[in-house]
Amino acid sequence: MPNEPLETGDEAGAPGPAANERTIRVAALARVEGEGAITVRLRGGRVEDVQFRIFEPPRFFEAILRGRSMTEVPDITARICGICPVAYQMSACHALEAALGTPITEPIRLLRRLLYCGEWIESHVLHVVFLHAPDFLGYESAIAMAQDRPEHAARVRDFLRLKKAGNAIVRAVGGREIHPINVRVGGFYRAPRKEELAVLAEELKGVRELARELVRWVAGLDIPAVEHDYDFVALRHESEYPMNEGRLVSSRGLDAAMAEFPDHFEERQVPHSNALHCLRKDGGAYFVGPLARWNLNADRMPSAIAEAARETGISWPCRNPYVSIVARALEVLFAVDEALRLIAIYEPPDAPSVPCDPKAGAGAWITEAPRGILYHHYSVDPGGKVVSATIVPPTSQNQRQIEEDLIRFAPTVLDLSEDQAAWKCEQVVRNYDPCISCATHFVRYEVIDR
Amino acid sequence: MPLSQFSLAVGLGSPHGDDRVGWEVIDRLAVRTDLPVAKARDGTELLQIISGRVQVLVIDAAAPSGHPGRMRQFEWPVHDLHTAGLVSTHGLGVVEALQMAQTLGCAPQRATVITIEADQTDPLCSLSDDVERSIDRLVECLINGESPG
Repeated sequence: MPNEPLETGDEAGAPGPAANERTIRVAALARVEGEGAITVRLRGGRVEDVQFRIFEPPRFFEAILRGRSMTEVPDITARICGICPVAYQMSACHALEAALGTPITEPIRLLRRLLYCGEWIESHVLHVVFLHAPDFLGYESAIAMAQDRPEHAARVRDFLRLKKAGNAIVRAVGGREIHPINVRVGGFYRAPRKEELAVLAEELKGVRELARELVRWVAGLDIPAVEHDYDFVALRHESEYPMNEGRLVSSRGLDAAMAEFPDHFEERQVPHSNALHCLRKDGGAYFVGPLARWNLNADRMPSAIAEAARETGISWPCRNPYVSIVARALEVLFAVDEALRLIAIYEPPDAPSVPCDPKAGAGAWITEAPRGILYHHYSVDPGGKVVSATIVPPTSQNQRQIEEDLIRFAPTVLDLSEDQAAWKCEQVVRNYDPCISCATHFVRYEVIDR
Repeated sequence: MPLSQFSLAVGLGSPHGDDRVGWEVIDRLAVRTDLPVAKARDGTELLQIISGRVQVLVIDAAAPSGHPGRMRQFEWPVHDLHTAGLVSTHGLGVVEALQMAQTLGCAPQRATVITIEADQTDPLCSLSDDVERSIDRLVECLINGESPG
């Protein structure tokens, strides 16, 4: 990475041995789920290295799954994340169905897509309104934002209704809002009745304009003008905006079957993090999530959403990572409309699931979690016990890209105070909405200048 | 502290070890009382659940500090919840939910927040012995209308 020369020195301006060193430590990268640390190392005025360390336990779950019945996998993997459990359930079910060679029916496919709409809405609204928007408006938190101006408070109140509509979808289709219990390999334990979804449709119609307002609001934020030639990676479906199916594509020409993921990407251990980094085979970083999805699939959006995107005034495809907040809001609007469409055409399936008799096999699948592509691979024995499991979450895939963004960005904040420098770096990280599923969140930010 | 004074009891938590304290207490209250109960995963859910309520009971885990199973009771808005050792995902927990509710004008008049200090919160680990004993004791106290500590 090209590094710009830095003008740095002892923060206190004191002479002596300490004059060549500068250390900034900030405890708490708030508004990001998980535990980790950022260290920026400078030597001779140049950024030497950036380490974004996060601590999530994907291998722990992979080990837990070995020897368990395949029927338990959706419920176990859902526990990896409290914010996006549906994503883990979807990738797990599809991968196991691929291993068994069992296709699902179209009604089940559509019901899964509806469930995913709910998760996209609740996860995206949480991040856009509560975690990310305060950055652009200069507030330390959503509470400070709401306390400062009545119009912000009104928006928070309104957008909470929008998030609640997403929760309602997950509850109606998934059985409950927290870690859905209605998902199984082969489909669902129970298909919702048409009347249940009709109630949901009324709630969604009631928040549709709020979703439209969310797009207008974030498009009007003061978004930094930064661009970089990213390698965006997402699924691409032949006709739909991708959620549960598609080919694996990138802005640099990749076009592969999702099962070929290991041919193009690989996980690597890095000394500074418990979490594996997933990189392109050539070692390159890549970018997954709403901005990648939008850039690679904008032509799959219905005309109403495309029009909303045009009205933002943003030139698409966009290579500005801060515009992720707008892509996220556009996906909320899409998910509301898509959920309404799916409910309108819903006919309960003849059976809520297809039979999935155990047999030996191996299969892989990718779905689009709110934060980007989520790869699962399983092999099962003849009795349906899991022999091996591989799970590559989106945040693992964005880790190196976050570090590279920080390498580019760090030189621009070194003249700022510790608090300001840390806050600006936090914003860079929050563009990716990293979700690290641990009970605690604690990130140390450290700049070392030798 | 009679349960009848509350219009709702909410447990905040996750499936991870002792962080499920709130959910465990709620599960047991649901079986043994008629009090309306709910579980929440994060502050935004809690905010939605408590909005417009008059008096709520909130159960949550406190961060480990060497006293696993220790129970503490706070009366909001009288007490400062920042001393309760509450932690949260995404920076949105009990404290932030109540603050936001107050800002939005939908806060309950009063919230009784009971914490049980966690010991282990690793993913999928079970409840620790100390915490499980405290849950038993808390549920008995609540059902008998006694203050837990």
